[in-house]
Amino acid sequence: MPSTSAHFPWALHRTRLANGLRVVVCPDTTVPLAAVNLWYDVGSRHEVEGKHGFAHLFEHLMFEGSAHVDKGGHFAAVEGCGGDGINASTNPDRTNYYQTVPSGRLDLALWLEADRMGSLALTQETLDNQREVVKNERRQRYDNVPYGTWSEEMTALAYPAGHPYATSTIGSMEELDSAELADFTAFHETYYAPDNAVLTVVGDVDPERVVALAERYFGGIAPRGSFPQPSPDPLPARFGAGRHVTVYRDVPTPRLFLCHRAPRFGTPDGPASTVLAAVVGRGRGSRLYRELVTARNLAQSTGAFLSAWGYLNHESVLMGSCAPSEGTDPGELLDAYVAVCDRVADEGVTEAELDRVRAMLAGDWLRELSTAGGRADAIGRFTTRFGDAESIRDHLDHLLAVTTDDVRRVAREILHADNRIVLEFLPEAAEAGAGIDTDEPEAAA
Amino acid sequence: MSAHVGTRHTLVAERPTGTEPRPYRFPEVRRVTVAGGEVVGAHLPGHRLAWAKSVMESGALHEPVGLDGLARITCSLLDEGSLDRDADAFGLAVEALGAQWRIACGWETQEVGVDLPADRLTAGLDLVAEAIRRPAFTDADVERFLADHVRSLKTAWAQPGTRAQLAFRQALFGPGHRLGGVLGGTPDTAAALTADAIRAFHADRMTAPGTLAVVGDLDTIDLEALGTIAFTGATGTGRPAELAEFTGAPSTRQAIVVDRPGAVQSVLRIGHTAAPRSTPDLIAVELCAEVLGGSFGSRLNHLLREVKGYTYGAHASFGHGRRSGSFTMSAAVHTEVTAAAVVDTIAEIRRMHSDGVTADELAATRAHALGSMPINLQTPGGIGGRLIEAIVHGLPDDHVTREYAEIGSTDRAAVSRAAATHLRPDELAVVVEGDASRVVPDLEAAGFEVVRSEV
Repeated sequence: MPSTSAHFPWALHRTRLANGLRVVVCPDTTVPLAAVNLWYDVGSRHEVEGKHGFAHLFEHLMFEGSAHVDKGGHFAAVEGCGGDGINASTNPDRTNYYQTVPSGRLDLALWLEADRMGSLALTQETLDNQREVVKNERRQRYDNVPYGTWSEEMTALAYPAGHPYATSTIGSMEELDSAELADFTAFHETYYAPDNAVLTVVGDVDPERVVALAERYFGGIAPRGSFPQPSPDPLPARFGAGRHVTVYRDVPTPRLFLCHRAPRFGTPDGPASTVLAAVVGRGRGSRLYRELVTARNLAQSTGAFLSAWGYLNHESVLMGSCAPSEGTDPGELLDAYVAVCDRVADEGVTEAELDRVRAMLAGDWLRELSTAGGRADAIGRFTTRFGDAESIRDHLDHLLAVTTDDVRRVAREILHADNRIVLEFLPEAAEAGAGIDTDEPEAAA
Repeated sequence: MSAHVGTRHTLVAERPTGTEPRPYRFPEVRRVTVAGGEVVGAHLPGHRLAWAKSVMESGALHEPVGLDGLARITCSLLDEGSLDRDADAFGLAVEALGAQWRIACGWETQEVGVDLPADRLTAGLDLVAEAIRRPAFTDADVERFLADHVRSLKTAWAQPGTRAQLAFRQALFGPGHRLGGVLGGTPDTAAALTADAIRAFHADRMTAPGTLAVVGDLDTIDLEALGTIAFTGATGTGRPAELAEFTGAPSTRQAIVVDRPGAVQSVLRIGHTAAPRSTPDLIAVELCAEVLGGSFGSRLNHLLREVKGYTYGAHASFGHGRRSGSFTMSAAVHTEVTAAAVVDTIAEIRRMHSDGVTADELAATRAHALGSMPINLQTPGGIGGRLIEAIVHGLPDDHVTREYAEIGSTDRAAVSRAAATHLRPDELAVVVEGDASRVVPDLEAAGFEVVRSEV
């Protein structure tokens, strides 16, 4: 009998088909919908040298047709049956595909997803078209936007060359240009298999019927058995040396980005690092906001000051950023930022600060689960990471159980001076007269 | 079609059809009048989140001339300290509830409220009332906030699209009209804002009771008590702002270019003014816009993205205000194809205007609009958005349920007639924000008279 908990009160029905596809059903009769979500355990971390960006470009091609679906037919079929919230996304860890349909159209959504899991209709024309679309996505999100490349540049500093997380998901123009049809048929053949996926259905559905439909549509797709995995050497808990890199770009004002190595999602110190980031750098009541914005007027108020990225498979990061207020020297702001971090590591945090964060995280969790689609994606994440959907029930409990001692312990490790990379963006105009930046001690681990 | 199917796989060839969606009904709406104001509640039984917002007649059109952005700044300062507690303490109080502070500033009205766990609704509304009725607006807080605002506008104005949007609105409504500006103002107008202007705007425009919108389990919520909290201390009556004549007169023959040297993409804004929400053609116009530029498979996204690869996404939609409206196509296209994308866009608008929609397009669009309604109204905030629409536009409580019925009964002739009436392909403002040195020659070669905008 499925269990329930206060923070995840819905029933979960778990099945594994003979071909290895994990099927999780979370019935909810209060909505006339079915959210259908597939998490494939493949992301940009599986890409090989010279082929960065291919996992994401491949995700685009999954909308370009399969054995029984035309180019663009997936979107057309889902929208045309009254569905919405259709999309897919790729990150370093995984690729997810999702849509929400009226519950009477569940069969159609499952059939569409099964058809593209088992087949791919790829032509040079569709590849060329989606390559151009993705290059425009890169221009729109990275190249044509002030500071747009910061995360790409930072991850290259934070992970050693060749590490699965060292490159951006979007890829470079040169690599995208070099992509060939065979790259994508091989990618599909290698990673898109029932035993590498989690199918989650949330909504006004009958679990037995969902399993029967999954069996009908996905049951004929053969398992692959094993999947090539990157196997980087484990990284030390800290970078090992602080680092400060300055770049001059077409940006309106200076801005600082900060990166700290941190535990991955789902490890014992994962919850404490999430809470630490929120105490120090999230919201109006955070240490950084109150010190840098309200009390000393050194920083602009916008943007997250510190957040946990929560990578699933290898060491993760706590990313931060701040922008100096008018007339403030970026160096002075950085010193103040670091002083706030040092104080947390030295003196710890208060119970009241934890209570603020607990309330925020509890509110977040309610919001994340408040739609069928949001709940389905969360179930896919927990099932993929921990191998069991039931693991979702304790998620908030783990966060709420973090103590002031836990926060101080992880703060000493994560916010250590030798675990901080600073990437400073300065306007190009400031470069005139500036020498080549030599303030770059040693390479990150 | 040739598809790569692993030989080991068996796929089901027959596409399932399924059953029709159940008709949608908007939640029950309850109204109470108390303490000089009205509370409008929507009933979502058993939901673990609740939502409440106060709606005030204090939009950007109410701003004194030359103080563009004053309404939004005043609204944004409400949670920066009250007579009861300072800015930090107020922020902590909101966060301690697990609440998210929600503000929205429009041309006619503003909204201030919270989205939070259902059992904290009363405490959340106490904070909303404290912010609206007893703001501090201390010199120190205002000074800090304005300096921060001016600085953040520098970043906003360096983003692609911000200046295109201003040039577009100037072309539609006239540069001297408030609607010809942007809601939040410009770096120039921000420099004119003062603490005195903020206090005066609040005193003049934000002291009336307004209307309180609430979404949650109304069987456990006392709407009268919430109204008393929200309206106690209110004085006066909200009144609509004056509205001058629009003076824009765009022509499709012109291309307005905003220079962005070195840009690898051009931001397009193409469109014209449109009817306000009260038009009897509203549903037909919306269905037409969905076919033209709303859905993923819309004509514009299909052509510009899926066929030509010019863009990551192209969209077109109507915005329906209380007394004004606009039709806007937007996309970011790579520099080399800028003129070609503009020409394609105008041709698609022209084709929709002259030929209307096909039967298949309408059937798919209607099905999508009907089926997706409950998908987009799953949360208290989603429901709340439709409640606010009823308040701002004076619509009946069941307006969403009526809209659902009207979508189902709107036929192809009505949608094609709306396209012919509400699209004006010769009166488009064509705005391009991109690298002028590269896009101007192509636009001129395509027959446009190029006008440089200095926004």
